[in-house]
Amino acid sequence: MNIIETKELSFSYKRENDEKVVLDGLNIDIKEGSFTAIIGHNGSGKSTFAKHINAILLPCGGSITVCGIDTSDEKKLYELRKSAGMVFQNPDNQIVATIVEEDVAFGLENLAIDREEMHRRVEAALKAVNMYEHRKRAPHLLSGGQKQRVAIAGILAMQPRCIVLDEPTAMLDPQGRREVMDTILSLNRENNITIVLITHYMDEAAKADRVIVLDKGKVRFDAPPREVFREEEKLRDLGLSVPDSTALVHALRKKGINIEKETLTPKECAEEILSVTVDIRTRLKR
Amino acid sequence: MIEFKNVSYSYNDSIGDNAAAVKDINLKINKGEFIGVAGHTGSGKTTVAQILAGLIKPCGGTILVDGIEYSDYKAAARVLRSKVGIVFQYPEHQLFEETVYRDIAFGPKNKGLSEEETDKCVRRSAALAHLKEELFEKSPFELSGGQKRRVAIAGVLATEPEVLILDEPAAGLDPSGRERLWGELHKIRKEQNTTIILISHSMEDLAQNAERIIVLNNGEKYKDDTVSNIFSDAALLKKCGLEIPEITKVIKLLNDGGMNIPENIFDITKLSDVICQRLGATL
Repeated sequence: MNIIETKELSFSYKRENDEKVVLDGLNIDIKEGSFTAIIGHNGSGKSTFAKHINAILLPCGGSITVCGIDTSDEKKLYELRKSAGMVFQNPDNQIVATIVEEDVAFGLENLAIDREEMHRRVEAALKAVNMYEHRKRAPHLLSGGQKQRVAIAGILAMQPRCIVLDEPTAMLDPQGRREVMDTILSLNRENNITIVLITHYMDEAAKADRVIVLDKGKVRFDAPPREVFREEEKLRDLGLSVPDSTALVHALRKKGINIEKETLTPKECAEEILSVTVDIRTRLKR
Repeated sequence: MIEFKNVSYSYNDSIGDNAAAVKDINLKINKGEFIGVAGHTGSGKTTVAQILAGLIKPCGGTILVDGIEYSDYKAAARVLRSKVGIVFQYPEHQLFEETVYRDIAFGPKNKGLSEEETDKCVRRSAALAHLKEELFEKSPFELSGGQKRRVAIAGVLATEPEVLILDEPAAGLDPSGRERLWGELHKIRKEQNTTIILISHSMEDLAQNAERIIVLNNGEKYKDDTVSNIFSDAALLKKCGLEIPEITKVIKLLNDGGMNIPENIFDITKLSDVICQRLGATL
């Protein structure tokens, strides 16, 4: 079942006398429970698309339906935002309360949910992002990765079916990035939450089931990461790159070394290279 | 050129908590170096940068600039501010003038340069930051994110700093934007012999650009060594909440599998050459 469907979705910013087209007739369907990464150079329309998913922006043309709700339907705005939550780049801009668990409960307070249910949901959300032991702490004393996980918990407490994350790791240190990526993967796999991840990090996109490449508001590639990252040259022309583990195999292939498989992680990459050395040795023995 | 001896700084928050941000930092910054600063969130990277730029005064320790010792922090800060330029995180948020030109000209004008000298400064720094002159009369707010960031960098370059500190300058830039930025920094360094201090969470970016890495951990200088020595030490990095670059992970796995590849290669083309040589040797 599709949880997000767009039909000829278009958006442009209008100024006095010029018009800048940001989204140019997008047709993107996203299946419930999937993990989609969206990549593209600065200004390709990634964030603008993300902001359409929970009606921060409304289409200028075409339409977008999320969980069966047309995002232009103002009456269903609350229902929409409960179903599709959004996490932004800077965790400091998303935290409102002075205690972690109150911050997570903030969204629920506005939904008039009874106290017991609220406690249950906050507890479950904090456990899901592995922050339960920090529930009584002040958010400003947490690390970047921890803050970002609190922001995700705040969304989770609303029990969304879909979470959109717009460069959630751009400001985090390596450990924070790992924590947030692990959290995203586990929410997708264990809780069957649909994930739309916007990122500039190719190694993060490599972890998704599907990678959509946007350029000038249009879809340029839409395939599993292994197929998308095969097109290194075309991606570089679009201002993007591929994970280092993929680029290394491509560089070796150019030098005449026969590695067929596209590799996405250091482990896959090393295994393929080592299997080539084994091949050479066995051939020599014969 | 700049030296810290046992420099410390602590933030006093309103509750009375005395949170030490950095403790007993000893370091030397030499002319023309490209230094990387790594460390987990809260390790003190930005605090050290702010002391270096003369924006905050340390609580203890000595600062030497060009061999002159300053125990009067006010005097030290004044000297540092004249020599060190700093590009903060998300510098595009600090653009404020009506036009790109005026934004870049703000620094040199404030330094008391004449109109003509300011103009030269603006054009030179804009060129260094790859900004076309046709953008000069636009409002900075009409530009793309990458362009805005280059305006902010040009604004700092226009003050002609001897040391340029950049705090996560590539955050939020796409891969080609990052590449362009690194190219610009190397050009600035080559043409003006500017010392560059790059603060980054990306081990790949640090490994590919810097020569020396300072690792901060919980407000202390944990290690100060060459790029090769730092990034081949997975245990050290892990202890500090950091990671080895992806390419180093591949090399380590290859070596576990019996290949013998130096761990200080951070360039993919170079690594592919070495792997080809090794494969050739097995033939």
